[in-house]
Amino acid sequence: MVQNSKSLRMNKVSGQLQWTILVLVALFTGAIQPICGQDSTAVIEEKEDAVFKTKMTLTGSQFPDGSIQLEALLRSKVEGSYQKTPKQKISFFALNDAAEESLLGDTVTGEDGLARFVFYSENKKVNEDGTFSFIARYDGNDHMSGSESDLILNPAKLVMEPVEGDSTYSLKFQATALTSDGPAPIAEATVSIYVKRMFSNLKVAEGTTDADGMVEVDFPNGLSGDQEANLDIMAKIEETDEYGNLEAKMTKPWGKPVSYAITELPHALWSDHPPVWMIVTFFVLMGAVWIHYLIIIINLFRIKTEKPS
Amino acid sequence: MLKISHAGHEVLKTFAPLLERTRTREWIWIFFLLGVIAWGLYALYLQITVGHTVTGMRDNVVWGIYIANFIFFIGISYAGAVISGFLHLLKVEWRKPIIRIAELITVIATFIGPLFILLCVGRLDRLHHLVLYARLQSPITWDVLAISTYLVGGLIFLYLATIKDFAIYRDSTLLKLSKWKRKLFAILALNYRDTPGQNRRIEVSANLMAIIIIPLAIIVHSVLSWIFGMTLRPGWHSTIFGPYFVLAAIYSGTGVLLICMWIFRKMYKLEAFILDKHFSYLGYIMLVLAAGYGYFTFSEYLTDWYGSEKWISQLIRKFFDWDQYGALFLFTNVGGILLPIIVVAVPKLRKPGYIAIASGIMVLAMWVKRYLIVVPTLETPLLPIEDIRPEYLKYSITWVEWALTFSGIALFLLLFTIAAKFMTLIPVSEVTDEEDEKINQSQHGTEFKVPAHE
Repeated sequence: MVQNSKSLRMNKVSGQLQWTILVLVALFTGAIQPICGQDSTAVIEEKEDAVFKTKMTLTGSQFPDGSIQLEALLRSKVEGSYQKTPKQKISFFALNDAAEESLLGDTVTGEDGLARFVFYSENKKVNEDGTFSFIARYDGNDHMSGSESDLILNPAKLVMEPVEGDSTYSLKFQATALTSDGPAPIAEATVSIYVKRMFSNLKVAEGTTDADGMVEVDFPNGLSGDQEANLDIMAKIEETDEYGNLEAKMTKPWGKPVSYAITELPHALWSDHPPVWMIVTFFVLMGAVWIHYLIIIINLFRIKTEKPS
Repeated sequence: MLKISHAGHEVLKTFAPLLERTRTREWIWIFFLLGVIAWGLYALYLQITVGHTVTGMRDNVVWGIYIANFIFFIGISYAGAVISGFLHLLKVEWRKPIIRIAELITVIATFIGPLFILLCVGRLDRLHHLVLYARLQSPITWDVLAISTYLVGGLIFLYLATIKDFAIYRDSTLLKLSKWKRKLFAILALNYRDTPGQNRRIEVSANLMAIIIIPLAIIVHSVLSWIFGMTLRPGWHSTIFGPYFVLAAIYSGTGVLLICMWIFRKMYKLEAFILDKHFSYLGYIMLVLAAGYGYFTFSEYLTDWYGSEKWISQLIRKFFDWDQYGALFLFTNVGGILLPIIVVAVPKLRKPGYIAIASGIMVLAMWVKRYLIVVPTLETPLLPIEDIRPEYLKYSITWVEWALTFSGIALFLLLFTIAAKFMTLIPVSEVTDEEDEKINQSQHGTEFKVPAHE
């Protein structure tokens, strides 16, 4: 019994020793450092070296002349939210059936975080399944992680044809997919018509293609154009899974001529000089008042210096 | 030693305790006002450190209660310009006991009003740009120059009317003044010894100031109205805004003067000097102004309503909508126009107490009116705003704005309290002159009566 209690005490002591050694080792190896607190300089350095996570979205637009515009949006996660990232190099690649990459070109993201790259599809061969396959890649740098996004497009085009009546205008569209078996109509697709305005594009009409992939849409009268009534018209079948965006553009004198010549306003707040009459009135009024103040102040001095008779 | 009449002696005796020392009751009052101001300063600290987001002002409603307060304070400053200037030029005798109060209201209100502009300005660190990069074609520049000129004018006018009193305080054996105060009065009295030359100079200067201060006051409030009137916005772009603002300012200034007269009469037992007739006469002025102001109001809204212009109609609908500004609009017209007319027009109601209460309600209504000029228009933008949070479109006053508003009122009262420690609220010299003139009249066959209640 005595021996038992002795051995128990010994076990307890050795247990305490083990814990003490463990803590000491941990202290020396620095494993306990995060619990005890960090050096503030180290924290700052770590923050400066922080790698911002980036995210990329790749979209494509196809035009009737066979050109394809690839558009990569690069965003980086800053303080919990993704923000547009400008001035970063993006590389665009085409993939073949063996998933081998061939470089199409590089562009740099603008202030809106977008990098655009345009090329002609006739110079490129479609893959065996009749599609184009692309990858946009951002390699990253010391501060930002790399990211990439891929896109598969079926070749297609939207053809826009203007129709002019006596006093009415309309637009005829044909949406066609370019398959290995030849052109095939794109049915039930929504075609949106936009007109370019100062800050963004204004949607002015909409239509849906029939079984032949065709639709005719009336164009509104009376829109403000340039001095020669020209309007930049855009038609889009937007964000389809198979074709991406199908776009067509043209300029037609279907608007109302508006002159945007800047004429100097006679009394603008920002004009270089106020009108002469205003300067004259101001100085006459203020001068009259302040001269009287001056006369009164001189009078006050005379009151002070006047000696009693 | 300057000559003082019996009435002058009485005034000096009444105000002697105020000039000589500060009693515990006054200290409590001063500390209370300082407490309110400190509350406002804390609110200001928050506004500067956190930003204007602590106020109700947002992208659309960029002006709020601060601008309403600014117009209100500049408006009440008209009390001095009208009572002192206009009545001085007309040589109206009964003005004399009340001019000091009127002039103090002018100077203090003109000093406090622009402070609210500073509260409204987001970047106080760029305040000097107003002077450095002033553009003469901007109504804001006109305002800065007009108000600073008006403040200087008000100060000169007050000083001119107080020189004789400072000389009386300096020479008085009745007053037990501290050394520094007597020395201060000696400096401020400018060696005035009641010589004919000195009197002539003061009279000429006071006449000049009386002539200048009236057009100046009109210009100041017209310019203030043009900040709104020059803007192409519903409810603001109006040709009658200049005279409308001027009339409203004189009206509210008269109201504040009546309230001050009533309070000081009660507080310092001034019934022998501020008579019932002063309330009646000022009441008549208030009645005429109320009628004129009512006419302008009716004319303004009638033409707007009849024109049925889209945005103006939208604004007017808000004034007649009980869920929006209907109640406030009704209050501004009933409390601000009808009530003062009724109280003064009905002989039984024409009593100092009733007139003071009606003035109080009218002044409050006039403050609300300024709010209705500023806020609903900004809540009715010409371009429709979509996808915006309701609090960005609708203005509501925050506690920070209330705190700064009340501290502005507290500062007004504090400056009045401090001014009363350095000058009698009824001018001793004017009361003396008035009595002398009455004696002269009695010697020339006109009956002389000791001032008493009517």
